[in-house]
Amino acid sequence: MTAKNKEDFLFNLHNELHRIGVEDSKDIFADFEEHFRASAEQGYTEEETCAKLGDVKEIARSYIDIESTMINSIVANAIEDSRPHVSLTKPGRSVSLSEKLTSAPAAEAPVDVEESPKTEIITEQPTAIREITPEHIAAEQAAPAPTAAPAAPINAAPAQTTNANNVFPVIPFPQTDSTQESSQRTITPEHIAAEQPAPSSIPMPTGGSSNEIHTAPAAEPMPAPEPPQPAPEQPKEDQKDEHKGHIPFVDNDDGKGGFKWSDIKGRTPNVNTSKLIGQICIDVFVLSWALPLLATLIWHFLTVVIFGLAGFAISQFAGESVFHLLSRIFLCGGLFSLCAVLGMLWLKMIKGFFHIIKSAVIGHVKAIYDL
Amino acid sequence: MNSQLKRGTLELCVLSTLDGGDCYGYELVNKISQCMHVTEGTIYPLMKRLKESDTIDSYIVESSEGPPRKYYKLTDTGKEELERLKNEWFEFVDSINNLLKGVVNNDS
Repeated sequence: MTAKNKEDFLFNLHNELHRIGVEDSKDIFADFEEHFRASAEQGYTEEETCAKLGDVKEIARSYIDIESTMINSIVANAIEDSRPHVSLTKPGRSVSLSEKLTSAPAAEAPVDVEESPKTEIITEQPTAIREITPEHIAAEQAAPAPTAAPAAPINAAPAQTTNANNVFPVIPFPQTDSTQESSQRTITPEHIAAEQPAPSSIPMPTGGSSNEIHTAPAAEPMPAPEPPQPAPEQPKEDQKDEHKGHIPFVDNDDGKGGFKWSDIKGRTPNVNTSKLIGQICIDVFVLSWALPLLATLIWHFLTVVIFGLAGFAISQFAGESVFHLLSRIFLCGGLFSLCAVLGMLWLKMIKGFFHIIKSAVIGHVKAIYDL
Repeated sequence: MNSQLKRGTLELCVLSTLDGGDCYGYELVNKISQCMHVTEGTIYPLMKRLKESDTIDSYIVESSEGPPRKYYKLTDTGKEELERLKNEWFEFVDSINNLLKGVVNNDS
């Protein structure tokens, strides 16, 4: 996340510092304000200064002075535990793309070439902390691939030989299999099949399986281009942080879902498309499908099952007249208690309903302001 | 440059820059970023850390043309630390150089 101007930069830095639990921020701000002033005197624009200063998240984390990666992840977890609504370790909340990229050793995307020593001190921490993020996993999966690839031909060779031997025991092909390139080997089963039309029904699975095996060596160069893949997403990260306005005072608001209206005061809404779409999907699911379904199920259970069975039982075992009598007594006496019960239930339901609405609204506001 | 290497050398760079004379924040950042590629913002956290460990100290200088500036200077412990780091650095560089030369010689 690179800020566009000084306000932006200080705002983001303030948020980051607060988020990771660095308290003493007055001196820090004084330092950076002085830096911006001095930089302006040298004729640099605020945007240039921001770009040179680097990623706010990295800077903020540099203020946590811990060397060991291990300890860091523990600390990060502890901080997260103490602030349940703030996530250091969960994806999508605090991880900037460049950090994810540097966490994969081979994935030095062009964006990261201009990183600093301090940057690296920090990026080492997220590596340990964020092992679960999907991007990280993707990057890690890319890494072991080259080691797996050399193994593939070794596995493929015996498989190929046995297949060839089983289907065409007469033809002495194994020696070409072991010596030739894997790419050339791909043709052999089909080639043989073409030469011998008789067993063509059998070679089909053989050809298929050996082809699958041979795709492994072909995929060997793939891991190299794969890591920079997330790079195009970078602009998205950037435009996400277009907050405008002054720095709001962020309180310790654990009891309020990590959200206060004052947090968004003076900020321009900044629609994070993916978050918003996610929210809307959840709303559509919960409000239009899950909730009505649940309500209908409960209602059907009450009316049909309980009342229906009771009425049926009475009319069966006590006769029609008793059933009519009982039903009237039940109606008079039971209606009152039923009303009371339903009324209370209704109140609970209303409360729950309002709670759902409230959390939906807060979710939307958070998504819109990218909190 | 390798990140681990940079990480170790940044402190040395800061200390030895300050050894050449007191600097204010921007000046120091500028000097360092001229000789090595750093994310400038991360020098300030380092300065704070060094200050907390009494390696460096800061003082405010009132300026006639603008707002006051915060200057940094080496403390006595800072000077000792710098000597120690310098020695470590030269030992390290020498031994690595020797190793690298050996490898090159063996190759050729």
